[in-house]
Amino acid sequence: MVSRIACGCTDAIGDEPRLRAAVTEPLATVLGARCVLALAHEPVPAASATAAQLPLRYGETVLGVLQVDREDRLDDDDLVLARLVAEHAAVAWAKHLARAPKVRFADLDRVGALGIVVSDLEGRIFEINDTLAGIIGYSCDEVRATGFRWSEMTPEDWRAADLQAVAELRATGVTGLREKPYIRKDGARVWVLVGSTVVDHEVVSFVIDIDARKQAELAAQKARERSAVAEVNARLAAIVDSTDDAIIGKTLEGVVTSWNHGAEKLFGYTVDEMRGRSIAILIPDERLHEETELLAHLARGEVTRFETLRRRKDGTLIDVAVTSSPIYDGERVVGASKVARDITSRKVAETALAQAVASAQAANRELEAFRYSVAHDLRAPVRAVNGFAQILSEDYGEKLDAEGRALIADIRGGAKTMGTLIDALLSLARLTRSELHREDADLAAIARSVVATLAAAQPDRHVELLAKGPLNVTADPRLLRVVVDNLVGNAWKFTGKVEHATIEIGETRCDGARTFFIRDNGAGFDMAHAANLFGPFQRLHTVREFAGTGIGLATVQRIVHRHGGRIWAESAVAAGATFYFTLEAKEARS
Amino acid sequence: MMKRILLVEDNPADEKLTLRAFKQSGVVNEVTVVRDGAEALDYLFGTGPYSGRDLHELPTVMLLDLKLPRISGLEVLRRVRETDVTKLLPVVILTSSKEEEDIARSYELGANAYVRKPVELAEFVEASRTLGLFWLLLNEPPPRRPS
Repeated sequence: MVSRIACGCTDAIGDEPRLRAAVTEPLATVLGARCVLALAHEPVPAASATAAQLPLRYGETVLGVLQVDREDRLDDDDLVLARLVAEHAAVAWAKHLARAPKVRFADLDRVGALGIVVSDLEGRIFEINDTLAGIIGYSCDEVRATGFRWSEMTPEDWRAADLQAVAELRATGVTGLREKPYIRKDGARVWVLVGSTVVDHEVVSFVIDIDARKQAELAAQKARERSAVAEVNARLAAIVDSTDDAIIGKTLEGVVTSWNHGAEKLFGYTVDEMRGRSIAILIPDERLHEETELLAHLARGEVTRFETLRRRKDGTLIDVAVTSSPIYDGERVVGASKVARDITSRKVAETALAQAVASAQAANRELEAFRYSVAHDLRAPVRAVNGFAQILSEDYGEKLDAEGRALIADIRGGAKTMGTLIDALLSLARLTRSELHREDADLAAIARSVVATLAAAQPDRHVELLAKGPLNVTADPRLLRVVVDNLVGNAWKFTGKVEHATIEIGETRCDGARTFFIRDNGAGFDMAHAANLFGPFQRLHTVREFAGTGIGLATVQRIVHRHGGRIWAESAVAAGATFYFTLEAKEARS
Repeated sequence: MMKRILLVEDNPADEKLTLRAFKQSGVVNEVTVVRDGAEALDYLFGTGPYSGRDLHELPTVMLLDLKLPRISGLEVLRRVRETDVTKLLPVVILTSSKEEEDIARSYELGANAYVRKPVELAEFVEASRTLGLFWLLLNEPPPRRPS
């Protein structure tokens, strides 16, 4: 019985259904039981109180379970029989599983799509199939005979990727699929898709030729890049052509290779006239050495900037600013790009500026000479008029009547006024020359001191000074004193005819700038004439009303301006006057 | 020996006023007047029209204007200070200018005093009197150099 079943099993080698039928059907007939065979990959059938499960054991391996189930329970003989059947089935199935395959690589080769190669982990190739031989151009015998290695087929720049794949193989036993090029025997590159696995310390790799697809892909990518480059080039060309600067390409021998619109406009030659010609026709003879020097700089890879003269087609010379930069092919300097800009108008402006500066300096020198002359020469005649008038009155006064003596007094008065004017004029001139030395100072304290001096000179005047707290400023103390002298002095003078004279000095803000003011309740002036207020020798009152030279406010304004500040006044006739001033440029400090 | 004043003055009006001021203030010393810088140097160094003058007869004080024809007052001062015979000669700058640079330059070159000619005659007389009093009476002149 058992041997019959075993033979059935052995014959049943081939597939699972035949095995199942060969095992379960005769056993079910003999025992009158339900028999179920579950192989290792199938679920184990549910057990019951009456069922017996017998493993299909082959050595250590369990290949499946045979379940036998009968209602009146199986006796020991039944179980021995079933166990024997299971053992035979296990041996038969194990033999089936261990059988040699019928399909060989040689059969696969006929498909011609999959290259196969067997190598070791060091890259020594033992065997390749014909498909791979076709891909790489070496025959199987050639490979075997020469101890050929993978690395010999791998381009230099792919070696690192190969080493990484080998590391992956050692670690996990397989590699992912990767694309790489091989070098064929004929030297051409061929793109392949490769995947490898380790079998029993040997590496089996599968190789598919993807060269056609890859070439198409690379061609498409190159086309995309080319069109991107073309677009960039077109845009650059448009920029180069639309600029007014001349942009010129030339070889190291000075032969023009490119010539933009700007160059046409600047030099007057068209691109057809210039391309292929020497750049030297633009260079005036006496400046030809510049080109030689330039080439030396270019050879060293240096960018050169300079200003020079160039000759247009019509022969006229133009001022240009030139920037010359080397053009590289790899490491090698093969030419130069030259950007030339027309700076004629700038040169004209520079010349005009230089002339203006020179004439200003000349004017300054003249002014200086004038000042010197005023200081030395103008006083002498004044002194003479005054002196001799006095001598006249001393020596001959008795011979003159009252009218004659009054006339001499008038002459001397005039001379003295002249002397005062000269002094005032010189001090005004001095203000524009002396250097500014800023120090910390207190305007209120200066005002108090000025008023004290005035009060001492005119003890009969009663003037109230309102000067709150320190007014700290940073200004030239000597010049600041002159400002306060004049402004407070004016306030003092013009309050001479009011009953309760007050002078106020204080601080406010105008346009965000710290502003000081000196206010009086004196005679004031008509704002219609305010524009004349700060001009030298401008007076808004007659000497009979109020004495003065008309230099004071001009002096004050000059000092304020020298500090970077401004000065203005508000007033109305008989309603007092307020003078405002700042001592710093607006943006200098908060 | 008579104490002599050397007045270097090109302006005839100023010369007249100065001489009158000296007279009025009681300065009776002999005043030698030269009219420009070159003549002043000729006088001091015994050259030109003054060749043969005894060079040891130096004036007690030289009153020197700054703005002078031919050779300026500052140049006269520089040469006087450069020359052994005259380098100790008291020199008072007497001029119209009170510009700071003029004053500073004068002292730099070795002026002994700087006096500005006042416009007011009375002040002029007072200044001349003070000058004469100081330089001719109070001031001890430098010792004469052995020849």
